[in-house]
Amino acid sequence: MTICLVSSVSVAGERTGAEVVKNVTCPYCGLLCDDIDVYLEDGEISRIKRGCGLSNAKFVSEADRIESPAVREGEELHEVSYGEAIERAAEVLREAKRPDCYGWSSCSVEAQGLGIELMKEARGSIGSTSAVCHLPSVLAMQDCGAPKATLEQVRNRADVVIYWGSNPVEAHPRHFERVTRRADGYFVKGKDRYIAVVDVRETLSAKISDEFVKVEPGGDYEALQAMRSMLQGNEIEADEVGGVPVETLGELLGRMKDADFACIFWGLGVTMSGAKHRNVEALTSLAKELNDYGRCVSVPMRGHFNVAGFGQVCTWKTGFPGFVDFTGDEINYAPGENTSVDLLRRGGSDAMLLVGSDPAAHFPLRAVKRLREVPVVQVDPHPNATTRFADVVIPSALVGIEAEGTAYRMDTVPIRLKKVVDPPEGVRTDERIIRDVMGAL
Amino acid sequence: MSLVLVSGRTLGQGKTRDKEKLTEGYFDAAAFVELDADDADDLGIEEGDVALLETGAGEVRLRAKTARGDSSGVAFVPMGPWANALVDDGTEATGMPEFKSVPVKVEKTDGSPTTLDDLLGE
Repeated sequence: MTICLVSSVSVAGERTGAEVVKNVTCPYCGLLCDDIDVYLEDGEISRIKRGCGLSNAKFVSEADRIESPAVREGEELHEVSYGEAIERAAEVLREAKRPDCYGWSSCSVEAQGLGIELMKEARGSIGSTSAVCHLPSVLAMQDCGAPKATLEQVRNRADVVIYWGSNPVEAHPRHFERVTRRADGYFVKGKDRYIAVVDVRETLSAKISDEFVKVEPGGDYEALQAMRSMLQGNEIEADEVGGVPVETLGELLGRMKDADFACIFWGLGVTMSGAKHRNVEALTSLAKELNDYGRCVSVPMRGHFNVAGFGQVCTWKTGFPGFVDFTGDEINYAPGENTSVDLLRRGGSDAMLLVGSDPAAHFPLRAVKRLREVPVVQVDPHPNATTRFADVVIPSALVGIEAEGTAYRMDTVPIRLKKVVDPPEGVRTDERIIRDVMGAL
Repeated sequence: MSLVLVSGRTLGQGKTRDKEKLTEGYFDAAAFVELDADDADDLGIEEGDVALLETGAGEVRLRAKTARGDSSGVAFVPMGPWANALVDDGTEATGMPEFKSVPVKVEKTDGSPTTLDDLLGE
C-alpha cells in the first residue's frame, strides 16, 4: 500500500539506492512544514531534508514502540490480540457511568471525528490536549474574536512581528525560517521585518530578535491593557506596568501602530499564566484596535501538529470546539467543568480513554494520582509515563508517516498528511482502532 | 529564595517527547531547573548542584543549570512530570492549571534528584 502512495510523488533518489518522497508534511508541531523530503532505504526512513531537530526526531530517530496490545492483570501488562484489547476497551466504556476521553492532538481529523462519535455512543465527554495549552485562546476568541491571517499573508506582508509569550526556536523551530526573519515575502523581505519578543525570560528566540521586552511573570494582562489604554490616548501614571517600563511599552505600541501590517503571535506564556483567557482577550483586542491605524493580525502558536484540528472537527460536529459532555439529552459544553483535569479533581469521571497523549507527564501530579484510581485505556504508538499504569494498551500507527490523513495548521489551514512507510506489521491506525471499539461497544 | 516557577517547551524535551519518553534521554531533558546566573549566585547554587523546589502543590529535587540570558526571578523547568509535581490541579473553572507563574521556594540540597519512579511509583 505504501508503493501506491509514494510512487506518485517520488523522484530518483539523490543517494544510490535511495528513494525520496517529496513535500511530506511534518506531523510534529502546529507549523506543519509541508516541504520535507523523506529518504527511504529498504523501506525504512534513512534521513530527511529540510526538517528541524524535532522533525528529525519524529521521522528518523530510533522509535520506542508499544509492541503489542496488552491488558493489565494485577501489576503486569499481558500481551493480547487486538480483538481482546478492543473488547476490553469497549467493556471499560460500557461499564463506566461517566467515561472521559482525552488527547487527539497527534491524530488525523478523520480519527478525531470518529472519536467524537464514539463518545456520543459511550455517553461520556471528550476534549483535546488544548486543555493544557491553548484552551484559554479558544475561550477568548469565542468571547471577543481575533483578527486572523494565514501564515502566508504574514510572510508576504508583515513588517512588524511580535512573539508574545512564545519561544518558536524551541517549540516551532522553523517559524523564523518559513514565516518571519528568514522568509522573504511578496512585499517584505525577512531581514527587513522588525521582530520583538515579549517574555519572562531571555529565550533563544529573544536573542535572535531585534528587541527583547522582559515582562514579569503574570504581568502580561497589565502590560497589554496599558498598551490598549495608551492607544486610546491616555497617559499611564506609572513608571512601569507588568514589570515593563511604560516608555518601552509605548515604543513597542508605536512600532505596531506605524506598521503597514503587524502580527502578534502568542504562545503559552500568555495562556498559562495569570489571567489566562483574559490575557488573550487583551491581546486580540489590542490587535483589533490597532486596525484603526494600519493592519494588525494575531495568530496563536498552536503546539501539537493537529491540536487545531480537533477544535475544527468538534465544532462542525457539535457546535463547540471540544470539552463536550454527551451524558445528558443535550450536549453540554463546559470548559472548566468538563475538562479532564477538572473532572479528575472532583471525581467526575470513572474511566478514561486516552488517544495519543500522556497525561501522566503533562497533567499536574495531583490529577495523575486521581487518574490512577480509574480504569485507563491508552491508544498510542509509543510507551510513555501513562503506559506504566494503563489497564488496556493498544498500539497505533504514526499518522503522517505510517498512515495518511488531514491536519489543521496553527492558522487553521488544512494540510494533507502523507504515508511514507508501512507501520510495524499488524499495527492498526487510530481510525481503525476507534471504529473497532465502536463496533465492540 | 522565592522565585516564580515557569514550565515550558525546550528543544531537548521536544526531541525526546514522543519516541523516548521512558529513556534517560528524556529524563535528562525534562528533569532540571534553569536559574538566572545572579539568582543562582544568591542561592549558592552552581551548575550541576541539586536544588530543592517547593510549591503549595509539592516538591522535587532537580539538577540546576544556569540560564544563558536574563532569567531573573524565574525558575524554569521543562514541561513534564517534574514540573507538574509542582503545579496544583485547580483551574479556577478555566480548565487550565497554572503551569507558569507559580511561586516557588528554591534552595540547595544534598539530596539526590527526584526520579520518575519517585513521582509515579515503581
